[in-house]
Amino acid sequence: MRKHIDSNDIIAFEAVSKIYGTGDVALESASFSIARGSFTCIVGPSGGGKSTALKIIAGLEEPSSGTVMKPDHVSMAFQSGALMPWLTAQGNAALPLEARGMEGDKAAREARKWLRMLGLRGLEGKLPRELSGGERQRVGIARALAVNPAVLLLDEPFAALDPKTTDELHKDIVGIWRETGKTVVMVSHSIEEAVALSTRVLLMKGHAVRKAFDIDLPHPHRAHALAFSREVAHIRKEFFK
Amino acid sequence: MVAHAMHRHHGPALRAHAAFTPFFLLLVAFGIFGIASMFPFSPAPVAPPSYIAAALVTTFVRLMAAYVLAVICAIPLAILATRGALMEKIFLPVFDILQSVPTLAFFPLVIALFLQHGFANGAAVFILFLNMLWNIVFSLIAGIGAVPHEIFSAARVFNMRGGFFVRRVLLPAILPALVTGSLFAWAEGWNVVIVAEVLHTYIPGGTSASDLFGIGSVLANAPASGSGATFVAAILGLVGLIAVLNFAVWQRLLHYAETYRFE
Repeated sequence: MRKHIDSNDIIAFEAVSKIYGTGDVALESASFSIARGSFTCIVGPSGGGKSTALKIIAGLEEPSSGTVMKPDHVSMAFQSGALMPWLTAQGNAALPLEARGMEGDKAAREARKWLRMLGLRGLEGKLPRELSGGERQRVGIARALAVNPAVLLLDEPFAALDPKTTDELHKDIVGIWRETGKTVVMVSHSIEEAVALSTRVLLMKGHAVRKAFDIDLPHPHRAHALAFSREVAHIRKEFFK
Repeated sequence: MVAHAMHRHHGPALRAHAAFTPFFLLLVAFGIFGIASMFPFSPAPVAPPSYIAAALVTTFVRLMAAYVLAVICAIPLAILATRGALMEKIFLPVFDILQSVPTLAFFPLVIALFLQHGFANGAAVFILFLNMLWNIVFSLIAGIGAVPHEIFSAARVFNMRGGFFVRRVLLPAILPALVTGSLFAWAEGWNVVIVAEVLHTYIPGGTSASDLFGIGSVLANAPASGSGATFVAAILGLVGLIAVLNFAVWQRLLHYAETYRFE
C-alpha cells in the first residue's frame, strides 16, 4: 500500500524495508502514514512486521532501506511494563524526566500528576511487585506520558491482562488520548480491541501494510454494536484473506 | 515496609539457617581440635586474643582492598563483554582462559615484582584480587544477560544514556548478580589468604619473617612453632568472623538484592 505524505501526517514510511543480519525479513517496502492526533492501531498476524514498524518509530531499529519521517520525541509503553523493580511507581514514572535533566522534586511532582491521571492515586510509593498487572501497565503508560511525547507508542500493552482490567484500561487510554490530543500508535493482536479504540486500523501482512481502515464511529465504539461488528467483520475478512 | 515484607518472606529459610549454624560451628570446632591434636604438644604460649583479632582485621582489610579492586575492574569488563555478539565472541573465551589459569602460577613473578618495589602487601592483594575477580565478572555477565530486553529498550526510548544509564539502570539491575558474585569471591578470597600471606615459601632463602602479618600467616606458622593452641584460636576466630560476616552482611545483602531482581 503506497500513501502520499500529507502535511497533517506526523509519521510516514515510504518503501521501508528491514532485513536483519540473519537474513530474516521483517518489513518489505512498507509504506503508510499516521495523522497527527490520530489513534492508530496496527494489527496483523505474528511475524507480519507490526513490532518492527513500532521499533523503527521508537528509534530502537534502523530501517535497511526506505524513508521514515517521524518526530524525535516519541515514547513507548511496553508489553511487560518494563518497569525497574527497585523503583516505586513514582520513581519509575519520574526516571525518564530525570534522564532529561529535570530536578528530582519537579520530576516527582510531574510523575505524580500522570500517575493520578491514570488512577494510581495512593499507589505512588508501591514497588512494581506490589502492584497488579493492570496497575503496572498504568505505571508504564504514565511513564511514557510524563515526558510529554509527540507520539505515544503502545506495544501490545493489554496482552497479558484480564478482560476486566483490559476494559478499564481501554476507557482510560481513550480518555487520555481525547484529553491530551496526542498521537497514539498501538500494536495489537486483537481486531476487536483495535476497532474499539482507534480511529484508524492498519492491517500488516507479509511484512507490509496491506490495507488501512478508517473507523468512523463516535466513542465509545463498542456502544454502536452493529457498526462496530461490521467494522470488525470487515477487517477480519481482510486479515484471513 | 518492603524490607519487612521481604524479611517475612524469607523468615523460615533464615531461621532454618540460623538453627543449623550452631551444629555446623560445633562440627568445625571438633574438626579443629582433631587437627590440632595431630601437632606435637609444645609449651609455646597461646597468642593473646588481641593478637588474633589484629591478624583477622589485617587480613580483612587486605581482602577488602582486593575486593574493591575486583569490583572496580569486573564491572567494566562485564559491560564490555556483553556489548553485542561480536564482543561476546571475543571476550568470553579470553575471560574463560584467564580464569582457568591457576592464580598461584602468577605468584612467584608477582612477588618478585612487588618486592622489588618493597610492597609485599601489594603481592598479597594482587593474588586475592585475581582470585576474586573472575567470580564477579562471570556473575555480572550472567546478570546482564538476565536483564529483560525491554528494560534496555525502555532505557533507549527514554534517552537514558552514559553515566545516567549505568548509575540508574544498569548497576541496580545487576545488583543481585553482584551480591552473588561477591559472596563467591569472598569465599575464594578466604581460601587463599594463607598462600597470599605466607610469602617466605616463594622467596629463595626466605624465612617466616618475610611473611605478611595476618590470620593466614598465623595459621600457617602456629603449627610450625609448635603452638597448637594459637592455631585453634586463629581458626576459631576465622570461622567466627566468616559466620558474623555471613549473617551480618551477606544474608542481609542477599535479601536486600531481591528487591532489585526482575520477576
